[in-house]
Amino acid sequence: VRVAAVIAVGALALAACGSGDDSNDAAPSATGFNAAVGSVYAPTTTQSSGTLQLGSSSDCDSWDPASTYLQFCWNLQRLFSRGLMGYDGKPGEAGNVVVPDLATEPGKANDDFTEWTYTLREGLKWDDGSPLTAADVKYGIERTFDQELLAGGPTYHLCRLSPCDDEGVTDYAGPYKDEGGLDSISTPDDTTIVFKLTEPFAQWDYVMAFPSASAVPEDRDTGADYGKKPASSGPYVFDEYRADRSVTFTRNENWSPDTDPIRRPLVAGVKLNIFSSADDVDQRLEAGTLDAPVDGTVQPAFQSKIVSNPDLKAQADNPVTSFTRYLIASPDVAPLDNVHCRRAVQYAVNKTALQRLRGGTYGGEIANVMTPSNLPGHDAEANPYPNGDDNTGNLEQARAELEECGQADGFKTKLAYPGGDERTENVATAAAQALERVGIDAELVKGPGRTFYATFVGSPENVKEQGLGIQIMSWGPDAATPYFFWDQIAYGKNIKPVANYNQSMLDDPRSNEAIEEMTRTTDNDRLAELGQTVDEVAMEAAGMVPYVFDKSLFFRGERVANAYTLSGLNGYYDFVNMGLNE
Amino acid sequence: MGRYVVRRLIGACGVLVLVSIVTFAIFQVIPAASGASPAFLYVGKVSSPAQVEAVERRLGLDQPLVVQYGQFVKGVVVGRDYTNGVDTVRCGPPCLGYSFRVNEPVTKLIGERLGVTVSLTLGALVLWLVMGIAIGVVSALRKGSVFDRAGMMLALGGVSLPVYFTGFVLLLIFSYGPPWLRLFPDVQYVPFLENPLSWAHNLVLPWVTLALLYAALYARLTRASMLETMNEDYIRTARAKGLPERTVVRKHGMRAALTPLVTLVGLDVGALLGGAVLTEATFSFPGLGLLAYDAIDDQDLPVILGVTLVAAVFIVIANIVVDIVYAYLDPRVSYA
Repeated sequence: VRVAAVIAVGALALAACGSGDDSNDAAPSATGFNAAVGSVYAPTTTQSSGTLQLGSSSDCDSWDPASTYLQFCWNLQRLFSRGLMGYDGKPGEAGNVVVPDLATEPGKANDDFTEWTYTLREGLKWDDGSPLTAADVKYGIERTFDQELLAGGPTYHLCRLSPCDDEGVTDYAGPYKDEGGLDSISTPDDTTIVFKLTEPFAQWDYVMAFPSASAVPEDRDTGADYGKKPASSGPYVFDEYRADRSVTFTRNENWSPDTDPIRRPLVAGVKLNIFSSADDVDQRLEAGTLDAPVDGTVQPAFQSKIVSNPDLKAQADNPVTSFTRYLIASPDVAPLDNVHCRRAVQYAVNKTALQRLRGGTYGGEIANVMTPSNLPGHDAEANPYPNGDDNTGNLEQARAELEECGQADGFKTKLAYPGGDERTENVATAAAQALERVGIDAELVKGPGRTFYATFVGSPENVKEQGLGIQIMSWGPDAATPYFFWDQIAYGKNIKPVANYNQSMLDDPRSNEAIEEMTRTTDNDRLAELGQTVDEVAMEAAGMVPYVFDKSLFFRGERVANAYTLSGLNGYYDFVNMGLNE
Repeated sequence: MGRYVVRRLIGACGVLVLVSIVTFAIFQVIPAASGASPAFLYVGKVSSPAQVEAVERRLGLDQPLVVQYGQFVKGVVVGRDYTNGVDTVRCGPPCLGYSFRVNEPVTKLIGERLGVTVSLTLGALVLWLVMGIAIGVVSALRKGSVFDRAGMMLALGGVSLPVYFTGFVLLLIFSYGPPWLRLFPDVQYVPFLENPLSWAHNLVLPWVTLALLYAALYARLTRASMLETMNEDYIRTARAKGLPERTVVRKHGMRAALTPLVTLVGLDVGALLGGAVLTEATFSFPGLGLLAYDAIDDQDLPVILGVTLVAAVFIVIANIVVDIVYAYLDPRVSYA
């Protein structure tokens, strides 16, 4: 168990050591299937005068760095938006690591991680040629405090920079309502910025890599309209935006590669084309009118073509994302309040069937623990509830657990799933069928599509009222560290009346202490150990029933060069460094 | 006639008020009753109750429903002001609300999308009228012939095949088929003013898709109407007078037979201007239909309300125009 953790952390540490290298030329290159996973496909440093054509089936939740939460949008923010830290532009595990972006080096923390100091690089400029200073970084963060105007982004920093009341209202209301500014951020000069936190937080460098910590020039801020024409500090300018239709990025003449160790732009422009369906995107990818997809895995129809056609398969990549798909066995709903009944679910679930419905081996790897395989703390050997060599279920063991639970003949419960997604509905149906084999009669309950996690299963009261004993769930961390994976789903203090993601109601002192310690250490070995501890506690409680670690299947067009998937951003291609072979 | 039009317009206003109340109720009351505030769609994954409340304030959802509806009506009549935090954004009358998802007045969004839907509808209208009437007339005149049977089989096929299927097949052949057949690769909407040729080229497949459905309907109707008309006594009289067959068909047959189509054309065009959802979705054309579809998916209530009202306006206007034109074409109908 420990060996696996050490290997994972070792890989991460090695990657971190190499982060000073400002070129991915040294990264391994490959061709064919998965050539862009862990290596660079068609590496090049040649500049192309062409435009990279990207395709998406939806627009971003917001183009304002303060208000976006979709990881594919975070990835696209790299084209024009920069913060103090950012994900390294490298394939493999190195892409999980945040490195200095606007800053010259990672934040310098005091002993208890309550004060962080960054120094900005010299010569930083906005796209209009004006200098980018520490005040711009401060302002960019300050404006995120106006949650009435700029909701939607990550909020880890809010109560850590301004005291909050019980409802989560910060003292500071943002620059539009409070002109005094945020006292906890100081900028003694143009290149220094100091953060004084309300509590220790060792993961601050990762928070500084979120788009919500991007610099924004106050004189170009248009409030809620900023996302229509955000200023650019990156290598591309956000040139033309047609909501739900397209975004055109052109090169930023005032960006200098000397000030940016992460980005090596290779094309004259990037165009995001937004279509009405993912199938439409797939067809255009196959026809060659698009170069790469930005917002998700290929659809089942194209997947079957890819896997059966060697030529198409040679253009595909199948990275692991950071998402774990799992079921919740809720301890709030009898008889699942008995751990043996929850363990019966762990044994009875047919992971192979669920994996098949998620796209087979191209859609995900069988999961026996919660921590995704590309995250520190993942234990590849652990399997606390072995459910058969073929992972179709250990029915004998499940029945034994039911007997210990006092439900030898099984029991009735409800299985909740979000509406509007056929694949998820099929997974729910298959899960119910698997449980029925041991007498667990799970009635399917379709919840609202868009607010399922926030208000349906995210409301403990609703779960109790409706008796939603089993729930469909998936989770991916906002940053590739154990803290961001576990904080919301396993920390007792994060059990909330709504938008509760700790649906297994885990409130164990061992996991709580481990998560709290994660906020007080930057030691990667220790973080991996703590992550593993939480995983063990969560699996022991048996409220989370993992079945698949998600994988994406991406298709890169024939023109694409210098392609690799970025592990830290959910395995999407790193578009800011993607080139064209023409 | 003037009094008739005024009366119809007053009635139309009543219909629109009713539509707005019903739409408002459906998309505001139901989510509120289920406890799933649309504000949850705007806050981040990890949100506090305070953040949800803040968004509710911005969306105006913290106000009583009657007040919310009253503000909507006020916006339609005199316009409204919104703030982006830095400036005040004026939404002039008729202000149909403000989309907080894309931070634009709904009227502006509708204006941007209307061109796509109008392009799609009017082009398809020409196609389906030409195809439908031609097939219908010739089929009626050559009843029982091979052309008649083939034409009606084609019409049956056109009526039976859903738009998304026809569109998908056309795309599969002409956009993604063998390279020598890819006459319309990478179909995307191009505004007319940007490039008229490209505008037309990219619209051919959507036009054909939409026209196939309607042409089939119109062919069957035209055929039935022509068959009935051509058996009328006055047609026999015209022939007995020695008029050329072409004149009999065009001046006496078609004029009478096609009058009922006016009603149909008006209503179909009115409905399509409200958004040809399936065709727009199939070809990823950003028209009113796709705007409504996305708005429903995102629970963008002001946009849903705005598009529904605009669609209702088109249908109501089409109805009035049809009634007026019909009365003009057919002297038996009065403006009473």
